[in-house]
Amino acid sequence: MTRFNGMAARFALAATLIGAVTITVLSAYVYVGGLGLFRDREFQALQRFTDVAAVRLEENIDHYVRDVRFLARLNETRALLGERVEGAGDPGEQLAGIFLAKGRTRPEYGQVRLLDNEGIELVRIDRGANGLLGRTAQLQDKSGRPYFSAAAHVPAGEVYISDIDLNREEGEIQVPATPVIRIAEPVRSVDGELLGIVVINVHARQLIDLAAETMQAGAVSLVMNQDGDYLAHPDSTLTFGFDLGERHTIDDDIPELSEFVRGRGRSFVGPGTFKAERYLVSARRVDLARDRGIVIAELTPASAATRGFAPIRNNALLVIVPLLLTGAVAMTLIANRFTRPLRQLTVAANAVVSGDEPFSASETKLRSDEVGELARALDDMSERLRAREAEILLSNRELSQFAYIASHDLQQPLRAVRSYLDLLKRRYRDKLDADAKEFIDFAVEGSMHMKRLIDDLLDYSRISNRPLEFEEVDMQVLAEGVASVQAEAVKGYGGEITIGPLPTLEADPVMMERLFAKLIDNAVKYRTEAPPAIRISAERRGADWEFSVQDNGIGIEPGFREQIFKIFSRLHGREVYEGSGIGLSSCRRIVDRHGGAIWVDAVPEGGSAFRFTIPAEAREVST
Amino acid sequence: MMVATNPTPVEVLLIEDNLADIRLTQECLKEAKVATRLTAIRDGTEALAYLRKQRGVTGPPRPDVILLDLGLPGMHGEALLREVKDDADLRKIPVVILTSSSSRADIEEAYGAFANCFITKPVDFDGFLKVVQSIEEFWFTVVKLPRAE
Repeated sequence: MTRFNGMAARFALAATLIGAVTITVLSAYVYVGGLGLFRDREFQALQRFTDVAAVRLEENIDHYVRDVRFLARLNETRALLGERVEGAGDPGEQLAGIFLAKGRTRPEYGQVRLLDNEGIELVRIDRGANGLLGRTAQLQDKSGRPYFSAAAHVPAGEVYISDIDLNREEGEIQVPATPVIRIAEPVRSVDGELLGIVVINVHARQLIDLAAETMQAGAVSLVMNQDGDYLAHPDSTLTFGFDLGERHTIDDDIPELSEFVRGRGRSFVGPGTFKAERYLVSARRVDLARDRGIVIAELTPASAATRGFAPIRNNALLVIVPLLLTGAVAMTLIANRFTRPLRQLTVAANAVVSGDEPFSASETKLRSDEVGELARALDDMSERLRAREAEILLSNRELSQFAYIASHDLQQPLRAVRSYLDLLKRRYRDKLDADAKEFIDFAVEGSMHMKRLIDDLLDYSRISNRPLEFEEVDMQVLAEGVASVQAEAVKGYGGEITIGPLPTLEADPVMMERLFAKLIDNAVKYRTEAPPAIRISAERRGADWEFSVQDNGIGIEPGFREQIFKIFSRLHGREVYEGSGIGLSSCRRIVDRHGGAIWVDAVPEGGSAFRFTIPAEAREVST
Repeated sequence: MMVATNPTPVEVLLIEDNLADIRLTQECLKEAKVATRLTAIRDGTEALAYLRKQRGVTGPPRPDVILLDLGLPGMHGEALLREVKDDADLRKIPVVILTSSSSRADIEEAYGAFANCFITKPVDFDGFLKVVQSIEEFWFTVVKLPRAE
């Protein structure tokens, strides 16, 4: 009894949809929020990590700066640079000793040197291939090197820190490639004149490795200089490209960072794409010189951030899906429960419609809600309908009985009137004067008209009451049979009746005979002076056969074309045409009972075409 | 108009309640060629009693033909017809149903009850006369009827 397009189903579906949408929206909100939390947490971890790395880097560089400052302020340094210093022995020898001592404190120190204001090395210690420091006697002219002039122009009190690049010996890049950073402080006289420069060459590999340490498996660490060139990269061949001839920059990989790297900002946090994968990126700048620095970037895959969230999501789904299913089932049950009385009403109403059962939804009628009200209203309605129907049936039956009895019982007195008028004329012909005979004639004529009226009324009531007997009827044969009765008369007027072709269909043959007889009679009766031409034909129109009985008679005024099918309507004075006016009403009854329609059309050349339809699959219609 | 050549008039029993029709039948038979004696009874029950009484020696003469209307008081014409046709003796008498009805159902029923013929009364006198004359012609002259001994 549950229908899928029924109210209950639709209600359940709607409620389930609303539930599903609500839960989905809420879940999506929570999911996105949760995901955001996880991402924020991941970003924070990344940022902390780069912060720590940067601080470690800065601590190291601070140390180098302190060392350079210490060395630049030594009396020995100043003495060697020409300033008169009391009680000094060999200042070069002493300074080299200090340089060596300082150099030993940090293994990354590659060279510690003092250059004069011309760029000529005065004291130089080097770390050899064996890792040991020693004084180098062979001193070089470094006046042409960029760090000399850069350091020479550093404002008083500041320390020069170079970019990190690959160390060159005699103008050639040292093999193996050794990244190096130079820390230098100029030594000046009291009046500010440049005396010389203390330079520490720091092997920066360790420093870079420190910065490039990754946080966890799957994470990526990148280190680049102020120009975006890689100093550290998972693919080491991409590093120091600017020194080796072909540049590889952050722009190739993470364009999102390009601007940050070249700018002055301290830190960057955000999403980025690296090798076509989504990553969370945290970057941190470490300042070296005034507007130079290096950038440490740490990347973790975006998926890693959500990995922790997956079990929470799955658990949530485990709750939500059964919840939704339960909701749908519950909604279906509730909807069914709500619409059950409606279905009961429908069943009861259908029972009233299809049979003679009274409206039986007694349970529903007792309800105090709207459905109960509806049930009571329907009950009232069905009661009234039944009463009306019974009334109508009764009055219909009475009416047709009345018509039959009236016409039947009218025959007897009519016959008496007529017969005795005849007898009077027959026996007393000689004794009656002209007036008496004329009066008798009028009386006879009146009784004849009465007779026709009664006959037609009887006919009409029979047509209305007799049950139809459907059988296969060859309308061609039937119409020809009917027409043969009138054929002689028509021929007498010089006309003819043409028939067909007509189909075979299901109909009551007796009724069809009467129908054709009346229509042909009509066509003959209302002829003009011209020879009558009566044409009977049929055409299939959709589910119906449309028959036409066409004449070339007097035609019917447009205003009367509907009226003629009403009982007792006559358009012509009795003097011209005979008839009771019931004939076409009988035709309409016959067609109605076959489920068709009848009407009359004017024929342009003059005359009428009576058309009626009979359904090809005819069944008796109760009207 | 009695015909001298037929000394024993044909006995006609008319069972009909309508006086106008009785008189009309009388008038028609008056114009008949064959001598007839018409007995009219206006009630069905009475008519049956009459028919059964004629069996005795003292009873009325047995009719040669019965003209029976269907709409009768007392006993309906059709019931009367069945009684007559159920009676081994009476059933020999030809019964002509002469009624104002032309209903198909009435016709079927009448013949079903062994009516010998069914005639609808015509509306005019000439028609009625023709009918009566036909009855006379056929039943009184053409057909040989059984005779009560």
